[in-house]
Amino acid sequence: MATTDQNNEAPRSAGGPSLSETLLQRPYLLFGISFVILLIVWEWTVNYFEVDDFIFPAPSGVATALMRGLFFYDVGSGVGGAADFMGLMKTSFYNHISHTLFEAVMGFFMGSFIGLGLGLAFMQSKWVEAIIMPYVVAFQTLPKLAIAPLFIIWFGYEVKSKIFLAGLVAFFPLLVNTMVGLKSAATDQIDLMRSLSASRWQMFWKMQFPNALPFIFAGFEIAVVFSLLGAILGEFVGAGQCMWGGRGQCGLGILLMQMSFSSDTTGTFAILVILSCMGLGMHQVVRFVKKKVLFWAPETDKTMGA
Amino acid sequence: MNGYISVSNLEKEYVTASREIVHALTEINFEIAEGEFISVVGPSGCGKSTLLKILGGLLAKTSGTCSLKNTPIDGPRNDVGIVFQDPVLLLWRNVLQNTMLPAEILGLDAKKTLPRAHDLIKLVGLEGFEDKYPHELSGGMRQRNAIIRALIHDPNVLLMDEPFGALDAMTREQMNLELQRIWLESKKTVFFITHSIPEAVFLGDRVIVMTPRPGRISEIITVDIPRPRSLSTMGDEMFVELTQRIRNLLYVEGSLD
Repeated sequence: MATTDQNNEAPRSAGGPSLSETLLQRPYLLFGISFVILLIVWEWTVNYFEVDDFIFPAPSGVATALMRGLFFYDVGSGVGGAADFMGLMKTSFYNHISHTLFEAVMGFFMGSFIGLGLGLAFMQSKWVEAIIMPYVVAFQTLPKLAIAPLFIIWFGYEVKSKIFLAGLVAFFPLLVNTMVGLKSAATDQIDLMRSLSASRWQMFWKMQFPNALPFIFAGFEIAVVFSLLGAILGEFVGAGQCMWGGRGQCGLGILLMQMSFSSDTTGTFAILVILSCMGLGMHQVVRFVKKKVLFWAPETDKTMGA
Repeated sequence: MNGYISVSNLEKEYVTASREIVHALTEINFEIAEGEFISVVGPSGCGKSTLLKILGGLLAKTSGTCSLKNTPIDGPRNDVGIVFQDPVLLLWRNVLQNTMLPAEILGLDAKKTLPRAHDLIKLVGLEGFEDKYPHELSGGMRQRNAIIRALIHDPNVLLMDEPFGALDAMTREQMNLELQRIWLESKKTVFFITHSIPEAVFLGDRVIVMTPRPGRISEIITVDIPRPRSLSTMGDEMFVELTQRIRNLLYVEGSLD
Protein backbone atom coordinates (compact mmCIF):
# COMPACT_ATOMS: atom_id res chain seq x y z
CA MET A 1 0.00 0.00 0.00
CA ALA A 2 1.24 3.43 -0.86
CA THR A 3 2.26 6.05 1.63
CA THR A 4 1.14 9.63 1.24
CA ASP A 5 4.40 11.33 0.48
CA GLN A 6 4.65 10.37 -3.11
CA ASN A 7 3.63 13.58 -4.78
CA ASN A 8 6.59 15.57 -3.56
CA GLU A 9 8.70 14.93 -6.60
CA ALA A 10 8.77 17.77 -9.06
CA PRO A 11 7.63 16.88 -12.52
CA ARG A 12 10.51 16.41 -14.92
CA SER A 13 10.72 17.28 -18.54
CA ALA A 14 11.38 14.43 -20.91
CA GLY A 15 14.89 15.42 -21.94
CA GLY A 16 16.57 15.21 -18.51
CA PRO A 17 16.85 18.12 -16.05
CA SER A 18 17.98 21.44 -17.45
CA LEU A 19 20.70 23.53 -15.81
CA SER A 20 18.25 25.80 -13.97
CA GLU A 21 16.35 22.76 -12.64
CA THR A 22 19.58 21.19 -11.46
CA LEU A 23 20.52 24.36 -9.60
CA LEU A 24 17.11 24.80 -8.00
CA GLN A 25 17.22 21.23 -6.73
CA ARG A 26 20.57 21.89 -5.06
CA PRO A 27 20.10 25.07 -3.05
CA TYR A 28 23.53 24.68 -1.40
CA LEU A 29 25.26 24.62 -4.76
CA LEU A 30 23.27 27.65 -5.83
CA PHE A 31 24.27 29.46 -2.64
CA GLY A 32 27.92 28.53 -3.11
CA ILE A 33 28.00 29.90 -6.64
CA SER A 34 26.23 33.14 -5.71
CA PHE A 35 28.56 33.57 -2.72
CA VAL A 36 31.67 33.21 -4.83
CA ILE A 37 30.27 35.73 -7.31
CA LEU A 38 29.50 38.10 -4.45
CA LEU A 39 33.07 37.83 -3.15
CA ILE A 40 34.54 38.48 -6.59
CA VAL A 41 32.32 41.52 -7.19
CA TRP A 42 33.07 42.81 -3.69
CA GLU A 43 36.83 42.39 -4.09
CA TRP A 44 36.82 43.98 -7.52
CA THR A 45 34.64 46.93 -6.45
CA VAL A 46 36.80 47.73 -3.42
CA ASN A 47 39.97 47.60 -5.51
CA TYR A 48 38.58 49.49 -8.47
CA PHE A 49 37.27 52.42 -6.42
CA GLU A 50 40.25 52.27 -4.08
CA VAL A 51 38.05 52.14 -0.99
CA ASP A 52 40.05 52.50 2.20
CA ASP A 53 40.22 49.41 4.44
CA PHE A 54 39.05 51.60 7.26
CA ILE A 55 35.77 52.29 5.43
CA PHE A 56 35.11 48.93 3.80
CA PRO A 57 37.72 46.16 3.63
CA ALA A 58 38.07 43.78 0.72
CA PRO A 59 37.25 40.09 1.34
CA SER A 60 40.91 39.18 0.84
CA GLY A 61 41.86 41.50 3.71
CA VAL A 62 39.14 40.05 5.93
CA ALA A 63 40.31 36.54 5.11
CA THR A 64 43.90 37.49 5.98
CA ALA A 65 42.85 39.01 9.31
CA LEU A 66 40.80 35.90 10.03
CA MET A 67 43.68 33.53 9.23
CA ARG A 68 46.12 35.55 11.28
CA GLY A 69 43.82 35.50 14.29
CA LEU A 70 43.00 31.83 13.95
CA PHE A 71 46.42 30.43 13.12
CA PHE A 72 49.10 32.92 14.15
CA TYR A 73 47.76 34.19 17.43
CA ASP A 74 47.93 37.80 16.34
CA VAL A 75 44.51 39.35 16.31
CA GLY A 76 45.04 43.05 15.75
CA SER A 77 46.19 44.38 12.43
CA GLY A 78 46.89 47.59 14.31
CA VAL A 79 46.03 49.87 11.45
CA GLY A 80 48.41 52.83 11.68
CA GLY A 81 49.98 51.25 14.73
CA ALA A 82 46.89 51.76 16.91
CA ALA A 83 47.61 51.28 20.57
CA ASP A 84 46.77 47.90 22.04
CA PHE A 85 45.86 49.57 25.30
CA MET A 86 43.96 46.67 26.78
CA GLY A 87 46.54 44.09 25.83
CA LEU A 88 43.98 41.83 24.27
CA MET A 89 45.28 41.91 20.73
CA LYS A 90 47.91 39.37 21.55
CA THR A 91 45.55 36.62 22.60
CA SER A 92 44.25 34.24 19.99
CA PHE A 93 40.70 34.31 18.67
CA TYR A 94 40.10 31.05 20.45
CA ASN A 95 40.22 32.59 23.90
CA HIS A 96 37.61 35.13 22.88
CA ILE A 97 35.50 32.61 21.03
CA SER A 98 35.48 30.13 23.89
CA HIS A 99 34.46 32.86 26.35
CA THR A 100 31.57 34.12 24.29
CA LEU A 101 30.50 30.61 23.36
CA PHE A 102 30.56 29.53 27.00
CA GLU A 103 28.45 32.52 28.05
CA ALA A 104 25.96 32.06 25.20
CA VAL A 105 25.55 28.31 25.68
CA MET A 106 25.20 28.53 29.46
CA GLY A 107 22.76 31.40 29.06
CA PHE A 108 20.82 29.46 26.47
CA PHE A 109 20.40 26.45 28.75
CA MET A 110 19.57 28.51 31.79
CA GLY A 111 17.18 30.93 30.11
CA SER A 112 15.37 28.49 27.88
CA PHE A 113 14.84 25.90 30.58
CA ILE A 114 13.49 28.50 32.99
CA GLY A 115 11.24 29.76 30.18
CA LEU A 116 10.09 26.22 29.44
CA GLY A 117 9.48 25.49 33.12
CA LEU A 118 7.56 28.69 33.68
CA GLY A 119 5.50 28.04 30.53
CA LEU A 120 4.57 24.61 31.88
CA ALA A 121 3.75 26.08 35.30
CA PHE A 122 1.54 28.78 33.80
CA MET A 123 -0.47 26.18 31.94
CA GLN A 124 -0.99 24.14 35.09
CA SER A 125 -2.38 27.02 37.06
CA LYS A 126 -4.43 29.94 35.78
CA TRP A 127 -3.64 31.66 39.08
CA VAL A 128 0.10 31.58 38.58
CA GLU A 129 -0.32 32.80 35.03
CA ALA A 130 -2.67 35.64 36.00
CA ILE A 131 -0.38 36.88 38.75
CA ILE A 132 3.06 36.51 37.16
CA MET A 133 2.40 37.02 33.44
CA PRO A 134 1.93 40.84 33.54
CA TYR A 135 5.35 41.24 35.17
CA VAL A 136 6.95 38.99 32.60
CA VAL A 137 5.42 40.92 29.71
CA ALA A 138 6.33 44.28 31.23
CA PHE A 139 9.88 43.05 31.74
CA GLN A 140 10.05 41.76 28.21
CA THR A 141 9.07 45.12 26.73
CA LEU A 142 12.14 46.72 28.35
CA PRO A 143 15.06 47.11 25.93
CA LYS A 144 17.62 44.59 27.13
CA LEU A 145 20.43 47.03 26.48
CA ALA A 146 18.95 49.26 29.18
CA ILE A 147 19.06 46.43 31.72
CA ALA A 148 22.60 45.35 30.87
CA PRO A 149 24.40 47.93 33.07
CA LEU A 150 22.26 46.80 36.03
CA PHE A 151 23.32 43.23 35.47
CA ILE A 152 26.95 44.35 35.59
CA ILE A 153 26.30 46.02 38.94
CA TRP A 154 24.45 43.03 40.34
CA PHE A 155 26.51 40.18 38.98
CA GLY A 156 29.89 41.76 38.34
CA TYR A 157 32.13 42.09 35.31
CA GLU A 158 32.90 38.39 35.08
CA VAL A 159 31.05 35.76 33.05
CA LYS A 160 28.13 35.53 35.47
CA SER A 161 26.52 38.77 34.28
CA LYS A 162 26.91 37.74 30.63
CA ILE A 163 25.36 34.35 31.24
CA PHE A 164 22.41 35.96 32.97
CA LEU A 165 21.93 38.45 30.14
CA ALA A 166 22.10 35.70 27.54
CA GLY A 167 19.63 33.73 29.68
CA LEU A 168 17.32 36.69 29.92
CA VAL A 169 16.96 37.06 26.15
CA ALA A 170 16.70 33.29 25.63
CA PHE A 171 13.95 33.02 28.23
CA PHE A 172 11.05 34.73 26.53
CA PRO A 173 10.84 32.78 23.23
CA LEU A 174 10.64 29.57 25.24
CA LEU A 175 8.00 30.88 27.60
CA VAL A 176 5.75 32.11 24.80
CA ASN A 177 6.24 29.12 22.53
CA THR A 178 5.65 26.64 25.34
CA MET A 179 2.41 28.37 26.24
CA VAL A 180 1.21 28.58 22.64
CA GLY A 181 2.24 24.96 22.09
CA LEU A 182 0.38 23.66 25.12
CA LYS A 183 -2.73 25.52 24.01
CA SER A 184 -2.46 24.13 20.48
CA ALA A 185 -4.18 20.81 21.16
CA ALA A 186 -7.15 20.35 18.82
CA THR A 187 -10.65 19.99 20.25
CA ASP A 188 -10.82 16.49 18.78
CA GLN A 189 -7.64 15.48 20.59
CA ILE A 190 -9.03 16.76 23.87
CA ASP A 191 -12.33 14.98 23.20
CA LEU A 192 -10.45 11.77 22.44
CA MET A 193 -8.61 11.92 25.76
CA ARG A 194 -11.76 12.93 27.63
CA SER A 195 -13.74 10.08 26.09
CA LEU A 196 -11.21 7.73 27.70
CA SER A 197 -11.57 9.52 31.05
CA ALA A 198 -7.88 10.42 30.96
CA SER A 199 -6.55 12.05 34.11
CA ARG A 200 -5.07 15.52 33.91
CA TRP A 201 -1.63 13.99 34.21
CA GLN A 202 -2.27 11.55 31.35
CA MET A 203 -3.84 14.32 29.28
CA PHE A 204 -0.69 16.36 29.76
CA TRP A 205 2.03 13.78 29.23
CA LYS A 206 0.38 11.65 26.57
CA MET A 207 -1.12 14.43 24.50
CA GLN A 208 -0.55 18.07 25.43
CA PHE A 209 3.20 18.06 26.00
CA PRO A 210 4.28 16.06 22.94
CA ASN A 211 1.87 18.20 20.94
CA ALA A 212 3.70 21.31 22.15
CA LEU A 213 7.16 19.99 21.23
CA PRO A 214 7.29 21.46 17.70
CA PHE A 215 6.53 24.87 19.21
CA ILE A 216 9.06 24.38 22.00
CA PHE A 217 11.77 23.50 19.50
CA ALA A 218 10.88 26.56 17.43
CA GLY A 219 11.47 28.47 20.68
CA PHE A 220 14.89 26.79 21.13
CA GLU A 221 15.83 27.83 17.60
CA ILE A 222 15.10 31.46 18.35
CA ALA A 223 16.60 31.35 21.84
CA VAL A 224 19.92 29.94 20.69
CA VAL A 225 20.46 32.88 18.35
CA PHE A 226 19.26 35.36 20.96
CA SER A 227 21.60 33.98 23.59
CA LEU A 228 24.62 34.82 21.46
CA LEU A 229 23.27 38.33 21.12
CA GLY A 230 22.82 38.54 24.89
CA ALA A 231 26.38 37.43 25.53
CA ILE A 232 27.83 40.03 23.11
CA LEU A 233 25.60 42.68 24.63
CA GLY A 234 26.92 41.87 28.08
CA GLU A 235 30.50 42.08 26.88
CA PHE A 236 29.88 45.44 25.25
CA VAL A 237 28.77 46.86 28.57
CA GLY A 238 31.72 45.51 30.48
CA ALA A 239 34.02 42.57 29.89
CA GLY A 240 35.66 40.49 32.56
CA GLN A 241 39.10 38.92 32.87
CA CYS A 242 39.97 35.88 30.87
CA MET A 243 38.90 32.75 32.69
CA TRP A 244 41.39 30.39 31.22
CA GLY A 245 44.90 31.48 30.38
CA GLY A 246 44.77 34.50 28.13
CA ARG A 247 46.00 37.87 29.16
CA GLY A 248 43.69 40.79 29.83
CA GLN A 249 40.02 40.67 29.00
CA CYS A 250 38.21 38.05 26.98
CA GLY A 251 35.14 37.88 24.80
CA LEU A 252 34.35 38.60 21.14
CA GLY A 253 32.19 41.53 22.21
CA ILE A 254 35.05 43.34 23.94
CA LEU A 255 37.37 42.46 21.07
CA LEU A 256 34.84 44.01 18.70
CA MET A 257 34.81 47.19 20.82
CA GLN A 258 38.59 47.23 20.84
CA MET A 259 38.80 46.85 17.07
CA SER A 260 36.36 49.71 16.72
CA PHE A 261 38.45 51.94 19.04
CA SER A 262 41.52 51.21 16.98
CA SER A 263 39.65 51.75 13.69
CA ASP A 264 40.41 48.18 12.62
CA THR A 265 37.45 47.64 10.28
CA THR A 266 39.08 44.60 8.70
CA GLY A 267 39.38 42.95 12.11
CA THR A 268 35.76 43.87 12.87
CA PHE A 269 34.66 42.10 9.72
CA ALA A 270 36.71 39.06 10.66
CA ILE A 271 34.93 38.90 14.00
CA LEU A 272 31.55 39.33 12.36
CA VAL A 273 32.39 36.33 10.18
CA ILE A 274 33.26 34.34 13.31
CA LEU A 275 30.06 35.43 15.07
CA SER A 276 27.86 34.48 12.16
CA CYS A 277 29.59 31.09 11.96
CA MET A 278 28.99 30.59 15.68
CA GLY A 279 25.33 31.59 15.34
CA LEU A 280 24.84 29.27 12.39
CA GLY A 281 26.66 26.45 14.14
CA MET A 282 24.60 26.72 17.32
CA HIS A 283 21.42 26.94 15.28
CA GLN A 284 22.41 23.85 13.32
CA VAL A 285 22.99 21.89 16.53
CA VAL A 286 19.47 22.77 17.70
CA ARG A 287 18.02 21.85 14.31
CA PHE A 288 19.86 18.54 14.42
CA VAL A 289 18.42 17.66 17.83
CA LYS A 290 15.01 18.86 16.65
CA LYS A 291 15.11 16.55 13.62
CA LYS A 292 15.97 13.61 15.88
CA VAL A 293 13.25 14.34 18.43
CA LEU A 294 10.53 15.54 16.07
CA PHE A 295 10.94 12.92 13.35
CA TRP A 296 7.18 12.48 13.45
CA ALA A 297 6.25 16.10 12.85
CA PRO A 298 5.31 17.31 9.40
CA GLU A 299 7.97 19.66 7.99
CA THR A 300 6.19 22.92 8.66
CA ASP A 301 8.07 25.82 10.08
CA LYS A 302 6.48 26.77 13.36
CA THR A 303 9.06 29.44 14.12
CA MET A 304 7.37 32.52 15.48
CA GLY A 305 8.70 35.91 14.45
CA ALA A 306 11.76 36.68 16.50
CA MET B 1 -37.72 2.25 27.75
CA ASN B 2 -35.78 -0.96 27.49
CA GLY B 3 -33.60 -0.35 24.44
CA TYR B 4 -29.87 -0.88 24.72
CA ILE B 5 -29.45 2.79 24.11
CA SER B 6 -32.50 4.87 24.70
CA VAL B 7 -33.00 8.56 24.24
CA SER B 8 -36.20 10.35 25.08
CA ASN B 9 -37.30 13.98 24.88
CA LEU B 10 -33.70 15.02 24.52
CA GLU B 11 -33.16 18.77 24.15
CA LYS B 12 -29.96 20.70 23.71
CA GLU B 13 -29.71 24.47 23.75
CA TYR B 14 -26.65 26.62 23.25
CA VAL B 15 -26.29 30.21 24.31
CA THR B 16 -24.24 32.03 21.71
CA ALA B 17 -21.74 34.79 22.40
CA SER B 18 -24.43 37.34 21.50
CA ARG B 19 -26.70 35.76 24.13
CA GLU B 20 -29.08 34.18 21.68
CA ILE B 21 -30.46 30.76 22.48
CA VAL B 22 -29.94 28.21 19.73
CA HIS B 23 -31.94 24.99 19.74
CA ALA B 24 -29.37 22.49 18.58
CA LEU B 25 -31.57 19.48 19.25
CA THR B 26 -35.24 19.19 20.12
CA GLU B 27 -37.66 16.31 20.80
CA ILE B 28 -35.13 13.60 20.10
CA ASN B 29 -36.58 10.14 20.76
CA PHE B 30 -35.16 6.79 19.67
CA GLU B 31 -34.07 3.41 20.91
CA ILE B 32 -31.24 1.29 19.66
CA ALA B 33 -31.12 -2.48 20.13
CA GLU B 34 -27.93 -4.27 21.13
CA GLY B 35 -25.75 -5.04 18.13
CA GLU B 36 -27.72 -2.77 15.87
CA PHE B 37 -26.08 -0.56 13.23
CA ILE B 38 -27.74 2.84 13.22
CA SER B 39 -26.88 5.41 10.57
CA VAL B 40 -27.66 9.05 11.08
CA VAL B 41 -27.95 11.25 8.03
CA GLY B 42 -28.68 14.93 7.75
CA PRO B 43 -27.27 18.17 6.46
CA SER B 44 -24.72 20.30 8.29
CA GLY B 45 -26.12 22.03 11.31
CA CYS B 46 -28.79 19.45 12.09
CA GLY B 47 -27.14 18.66 15.39
CA LYS B 48 -26.01 15.12 14.61
CA SER B 49 -22.51 15.66 15.97
CA THR B 50 -23.98 17.27 19.08
CA LEU B 51 -26.16 14.18 19.53
CA LEU B 52 -23.09 11.92 19.22
CA LYS B 53 -21.17 13.96 21.78
CA ILE B 54 -24.05 13.73 24.22
CA LEU B 55 -24.18 9.94 23.73
CA GLY B 56 -20.42 9.83 24.25
CA GLY B 57 -20.73 11.79 27.48
CA LEU B 58 -18.59 14.61 26.11
CA LEU B 59 -21.38 17.17 26.15
CA ALA B 60 -24.14 17.79 28.69
CA LYS B 61 -27.76 17.71 27.55
CA THR B 62 -30.20 20.47 28.43
CA SER B 63 -33.13 18.20 29.27
CA GLY B 64 -34.55 14.75 28.59
CA THR B 65 -33.09 11.35 29.31
CA CYS B 66 -30.35 9.41 27.67
CA SER B 67 -29.25 5.98 28.83
CA LEU B 68 -27.04 3.08 27.89
CA LYS B 69 -27.71 -0.38 29.33
CA ASN B 70 -30.26 1.25 31.65
CA THR B 71 -27.72 3.57 33.25
CA PRO B 72 -27.92 7.27 32.47
CA ILE B 73 -25.11 8.74 30.35
CA ASP B 74 -23.65 11.56 32.40
CA GLY B 75 -19.99 11.47 31.38
CA PRO B 76 -17.46 9.57 29.29
CA ARG B 77 -17.57 5.83 29.86
CA ASN B 78 -15.30 2.93 29.11
CA ASP B 79 -17.87 0.85 27.26
CA VAL B 80 -18.01 3.39 24.44
CA GLY B 81 -15.46 3.93 21.67
CA ILE B 82 -15.46 7.05 19.52
CA VAL B 83 -14.18 7.55 15.97
CA PHE B 84 -13.93 11.17 14.88
CA GLN B 85 -14.08 12.69 11.42
CA ASP B 86 -10.33 13.23 11.50
CA PRO B 87 -8.38 10.19 12.60
CA VAL B 88 -6.96 12.21 15.54
CA LEU B 89 -3.93 9.94 15.71
CA LEU B 90 -1.14 11.08 18.00
CA LEU B 91 1.62 11.91 15.52
CA TRP B 92 4.45 10.75 17.78
CA ARG B 93 2.98 7.27 18.13
CA ASN B 94 3.16 4.49 15.56
CA VAL B 95 0.23 2.34 14.48
CA LEU B 96 0.64 -0.11 17.35
CA GLN B 97 1.15 2.61 19.96
CA ASN B 98 -1.84 4.59 18.72
CA THR B 99 -3.95 1.45 18.82
CA MET B 100 -2.83 0.81 22.39
CA LEU B 101 -3.52 4.35 23.65
CA PRO B 102 -6.94 3.62 25.23
CA ALA B 103 -5.55 0.48 26.87
CA GLU B 104 -2.73 2.53 28.41
CA ILE B 105 -5.02 5.26 29.65
CA LEU B 106 -7.56 2.84 31.06
CA GLY B 107 -4.73 0.89 32.68
CA LEU B 108 -5.60 -2.41 31.01
CA ASP B 109 -3.26 -5.37 31.22
CA ALA B 110 -0.87 -5.11 28.28
CA LYS B 111 -0.47 -8.91 28.23
CA LYS B 112 -4.10 -9.23 27.21
CA THR B 113 -4.48 -6.14 25.06
CA LEU B 114 -1.28 -6.47 23.02
CA PRO B 115 -2.36 -9.69 21.27
CA ARG B 116 -5.75 -8.08 20.73
CA ALA B 117 -4.06 -5.05 19.17
CA HIS B 118 -2.22 -7.31 16.76
CA ASP B 119 -5.46 -9.11 15.90
CA LEU B 120 -7.17 -5.81 15.19
CA ILE B 121 -4.24 -4.62 13.07
CA LYS B 122 -4.61 -7.83 11.07
CA LEU B 123 -8.37 -7.36 10.87
CA VAL B 124 -8.03 -4.01 9.07
CA GLY B 125 -5.05 -5.04 6.95
CA LEU B 126 -2.42 -2.89 8.64
CA GLU B 127 -0.04 -5.80 9.14
CA GLY B 128 3.53 -4.78 8.45
CA PHE B 129 2.71 -1.17 9.29
CA GLU B 130 2.78 -1.58 13.08
CA ASP B 131 5.84 0.63 13.47
CA LYS B 132 4.84 3.24 10.91
CA TYR B 133 3.95 6.74 12.07
CA PRO B 134 0.86 8.66 10.92
CA HIS B 135 2.85 10.79 8.46
CA GLU B 136 3.88 7.58 6.71
CA LEU B 137 0.30 6.35 6.25
CA SER B 138 -2.37 7.10 3.66
CA GLY B 139 -5.67 8.71 4.66
CA GLY B 140 -7.54 5.40 4.59
CA MET B 141 -4.87 3.68 6.69
CA ARG B 142 -5.00 6.44 9.28
CA GLN B 143 -8.75 6.12 9.59
CA ARG B 144 -8.44 2.33 9.90
CA ASN B 145 -5.94 2.92 12.69
CA ALA B 146 -8.44 5.24 14.38
CA ILE B 147 -11.19 2.62 14.12
CA ILE B 148 -9.17 -0.14 15.75
CA ARG B 149 -8.06 2.29 18.45
CA ALA B 150 -11.75 2.74 19.28
CA LEU B 151 -12.10 -1.05 19.46
CA ILE B 152 -9.03 -1.98 21.52
CA HIS B 153 -10.74 -1.80 24.91
CA ASP B 154 -13.61 -3.88 23.52
CA PRO B 155 -16.39 -1.32 24.06
CA ASN B 156 -20.01 -2.36 23.51
CA VAL B 157 -20.84 0.77 21.59
CA LEU B 158 -19.01 2.45 18.72
CA LEU B 159 -19.85 6.09 18.02
CA MET B 160 -18.64 7.27 14.63
CA ASP B 161 -18.79 10.91 13.57
CA GLU B 162 -18.48 11.04 9.77
CA PRO B 163 -15.37 8.89 9.91
CA PHE B 164 -14.99 8.66 6.12
CA GLY B 165 -15.92 12.25 5.30
CA ALA B 166 -12.38 13.25 4.42
CA LEU B 167 -11.63 10.25 2.19
CA ASP B 168 -11.88 10.09 -1.58
CA ALA B 169 -14.91 8.31 -3.04
CA MET B 170 -13.21 5.01 -3.86
CA THR B 171 -11.36 4.67 -0.56
CA ARG B 172 -14.63 5.52 1.09
CA GLU B 173 -16.48 2.64 -0.59
CA GLN B 174 -13.73 0.27 0.45
CA MET B 175 -13.92 1.52 4.02
CA ASN B 176 -17.68 0.99 3.98
CA LEU B 177 -17.19 -2.64 3.03
CA GLU B 178 -14.51 -2.99 5.66
CA LEU B 179 -16.61 -1.41 8.38
CA GLN B 180 -19.47 -3.76 7.55
CA ARG B 181 -17.09 -6.69 7.86
CA ILE B 182 -15.69 -5.47 11.17
CA TRP B 183 -19.20 -4.93 12.47
CA LEU B 184 -20.36 -8.39 11.34
CA GLU B 185 -17.38 -9.92 13.13
CA SER B 186 -17.51 -7.90 16.32
CA LYS B 187 -21.26 -7.29 16.65
CA LYS B 188 -20.86 -3.91 18.30
CA THR B 189 -23.73 -1.48 18.58
CA VAL B 190 -22.82 1.26 16.11
CA PHE B 191 -24.06 4.84 15.90
CA PHE B 192 -22.75 6.09 12.59
CA ILE B 193 -23.07 9.69 11.42
CA THR B 194 -22.69 10.56 7.76
CA HIS B 195 -23.42 13.20 5.15
CA SER B 196 -23.88 10.60 2.49
CA ILE B 197 -27.33 9.07 1.93
CA PRO B 198 -26.04 5.97 0.06
CA GLU B 199 -23.47 5.35 2.80
CA ALA B 200 -26.16 5.61 5.47
CA VAL B 201 -28.41 3.11 3.70
CA PHE B 202 -25.57 0.78 2.74
CA LEU B 203 -24.35 0.40 6.31
CA GLY B 204 -27.41 0.87 8.49
CA ASP B 205 -29.99 -1.50 9.90
CA ARG B 206 -31.98 1.65 10.37
CA VAL B 207 -31.36 5.22 9.24
CA ILE B 208 -32.21 8.18 11.41
CA VAL B 209 -32.98 11.12 9.13
CA MET B 210 -32.42 14.49 10.77
CA THR B 211 -33.33 18.01 9.70
CA PRO B 212 -31.91 21.28 11.00
CA ARG B 213 -33.13 24.47 12.69
CA PRO B 214 -33.94 23.12 15.17
CA GLY B 215 -32.19 19.75 14.89
CA ARG B 216 -34.78 17.01 15.13
CA ILE B 217 -35.56 13.56 13.82
CA SER B 218 -37.68 13.65 10.71
CA GLU B 219 -38.06 9.90 10.33
CA ILE B 220 -36.40 6.61 11.21
CA ILE B 221 -36.25 4.28 8.23
CA THR B 222 -35.65 0.54 8.44
CA VAL B 223 -33.31 -0.89 5.82
CA ASP B 224 -34.42 -4.43 5.08
CA ILE B 225 -31.59 -5.44 2.83
CA PRO B 226 -29.86 -8.75 3.72
CA ARG B 227 -26.21 -8.86 4.78
CA PRO B 228 -23.47 -8.93 3.86
CA ARG B 229 -24.21 -6.18 1.41
CA SER B 230 -21.85 -5.64 -1.51
CA LEU B 231 -21.20 -2.65 -3.71
CA SER B 232 -23.64 -4.06 -6.26
CA THR B 233 -26.33 -3.77 -3.60
CA MET B 234 -26.29 -0.07 -4.38
CA GLY B 235 -27.92 -0.85 -7.73
CA ASP B 236 -30.76 -2.88 -6.16
CA GLU B 237 -34.26 -1.56 -6.52
CA MET B 238 -34.88 -1.41 -2.78
CA PHE B 239 -31.61 0.46 -2.20
CA VAL B 240 -32.44 3.06 -4.83
CA GLU B 241 -35.95 3.40 -3.46
CA LEU B 242 -34.73 3.97 0.10
CA THR B 243 -32.11 6.54 -0.87
CA GLN B 244 -34.72 8.35 -2.96
CA ARG B 245 -37.12 8.35 -0.04
CA ILE B 246 -34.52 9.84 2.29
CA ARG B 247 -33.55 12.39 -0.30
CA ASN B 248 -37.20 13.44 -0.62
CA LEU B 249 -37.50 13.73 3.14
CA LEU B 250 -34.52 16.07 3.28
CA TYR B 251 -35.72 18.17 0.35
CA VAL B 252 -39.36 18.35 1.46
CA GLU B 253 -38.21 19.61 4.82
CA GLY B 254 -36.47 22.37 2.91
CA SER B 255 -33.21 21.69 4.64
CA LEU B 256 -31.16 21.16 1.51
CA ASP B 257 -30.84 24.14 -0.73
